[in-house]
Amino acid sequence: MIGCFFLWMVLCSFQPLPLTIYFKFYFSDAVLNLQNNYTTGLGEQVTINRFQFYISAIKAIDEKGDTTPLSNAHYLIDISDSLSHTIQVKSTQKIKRLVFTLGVDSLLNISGIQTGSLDPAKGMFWTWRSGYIMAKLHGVSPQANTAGKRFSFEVGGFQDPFNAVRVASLEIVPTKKTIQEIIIHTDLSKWFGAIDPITIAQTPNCHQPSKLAMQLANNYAQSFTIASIQ
Amino acid sequence: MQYAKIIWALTITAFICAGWGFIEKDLLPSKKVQFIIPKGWPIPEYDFSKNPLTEAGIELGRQLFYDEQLSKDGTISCGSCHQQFGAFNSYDHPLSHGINNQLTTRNAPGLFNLAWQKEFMWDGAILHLDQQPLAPITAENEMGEAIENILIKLRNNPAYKKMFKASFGDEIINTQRFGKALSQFLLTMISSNSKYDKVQRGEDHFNASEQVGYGIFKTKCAQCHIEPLFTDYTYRNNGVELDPFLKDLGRMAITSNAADSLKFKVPSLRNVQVSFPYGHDGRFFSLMNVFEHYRNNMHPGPSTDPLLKNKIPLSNFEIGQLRAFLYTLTDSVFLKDPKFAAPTEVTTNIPPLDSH
Repeated sequence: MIGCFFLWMVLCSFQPLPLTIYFKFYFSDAVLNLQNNYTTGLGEQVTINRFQFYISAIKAIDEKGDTTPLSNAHYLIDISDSLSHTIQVKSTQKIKRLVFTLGVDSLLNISGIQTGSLDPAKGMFWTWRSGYIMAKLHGVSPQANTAGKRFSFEVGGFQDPFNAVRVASLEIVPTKKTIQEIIIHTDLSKWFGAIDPITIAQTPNCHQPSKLAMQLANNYAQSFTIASIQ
Repeated sequence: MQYAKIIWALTITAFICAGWGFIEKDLLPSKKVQFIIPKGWPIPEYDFSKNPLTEAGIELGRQLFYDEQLSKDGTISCGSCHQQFGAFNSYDHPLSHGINNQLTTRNAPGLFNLAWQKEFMWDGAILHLDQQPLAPITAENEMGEAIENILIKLRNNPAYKKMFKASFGDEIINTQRFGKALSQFLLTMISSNSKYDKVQRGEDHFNASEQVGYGIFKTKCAQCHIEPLFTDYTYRNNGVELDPFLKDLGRMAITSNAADSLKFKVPSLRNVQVSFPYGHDGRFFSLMNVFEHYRNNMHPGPSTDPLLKNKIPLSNFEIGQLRAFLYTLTDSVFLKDPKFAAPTEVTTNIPPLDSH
């Protein structure tokens, strides 16, 4: 009986340690602070109030090109909720690329109401039309010609031609030991022009699947870089 | 020895009975309800395996449907704009009403046979029945409430806790269960007992006018209003003009495709007698207005349906016969079924308004 218990203990100790992924937020090179004022690449001033986005289908690709799923869950990363900045997934060896989906699986947009991080009560589900807001960025800018100088980017859409789901694929220098920790820098300045230039003066609002949503999605998909691994 | 045996038997029986007593009534899963497809009807679109109907779930859905707490100021329930005597449309209202004296931009459609419907709203914005109630509940000009607030109100109500437990096994109240319960009630709203249905089942006969009207219907209307649901659930531009105040482009708002300009879902003609006014914005006051639209007043545009390029020629005689047939689609069993009426036992914890 005691032998069995020890055997169980030993077996448990062989379970791989989880991989912890930390998201840290920046605006260009500065650590993002919700009260601070930043300047976009196109010279507009912005203060961020709210930033939330979904990630899902986290995978590792090894040197041989083989893919290992690390998590099938959907995570809602919310800049105002520090607990959400850390996620734990299973780890694997010889990771060469960390790949994750930015957004929500298309089927879950239309399969009734989901729970947990996908509960529409989280405010990331469009109730006026079926579909999740994949990423949301709200703030104020003197360049916004709107009430309260507010700008509001809510990027969603899961059907062609306005499918806002993107994939981030981040290169990792392979290490011999199993990686236990990855810190990802998330640079919000990319929203305004990593690929397509976006000016708040011209487009302060994005609230539906559209060309603007596609441009914003193309941009923020470039926000992520690996800062360190351990 | 004999006594000992009897005592043993009695003791064991007593233990079994005592054990049985511990299984409380409300711990037993609620009685399942079989969804019956009317004879000759297609397979429903709704996936019942994800949300099996139970007596408790349907009753919870009915309570929610008629609960004014679901609106921000506690004045409007789903049932306020979806009235049973109008086949759950907004009876005699072109545009339905919202909180704070607001009007919406569309005519609340009748609610029935929703299990067969894949997309909801006049423009098909909503793609699952469970998700549909979230739209009017959260819209500023309808019920204006946040989902989180509704969940808080329900969680603070002991009667709802009990009902969620009876429906789903425990007291957890979340958006998913809220939507599933409402769907359970909505799915039971089947309208299949009109005179037309009775004729189809061989239980009744059309009179002469109805029979002639049925023939006209089949040649001039049935391409879009397909039996037995009397709609094909497609989006079509039937030659309506853009309303300059509402500026409602219909399906185009969803697809961003100019070819979908002014396209709206083909409505079912079941219960058409009681679901006036007609059209996505209630612009047609009466059936006569609709007939006049199709034979004279249409404004064909680039996205107008090819079937209507030459309008629909209809004589006064044909209109009379057609109307006689359309009235056979009125399902008075459905319109008066107490199963769908507001519950007599109200679970709301809002004190009643002082009504003078």
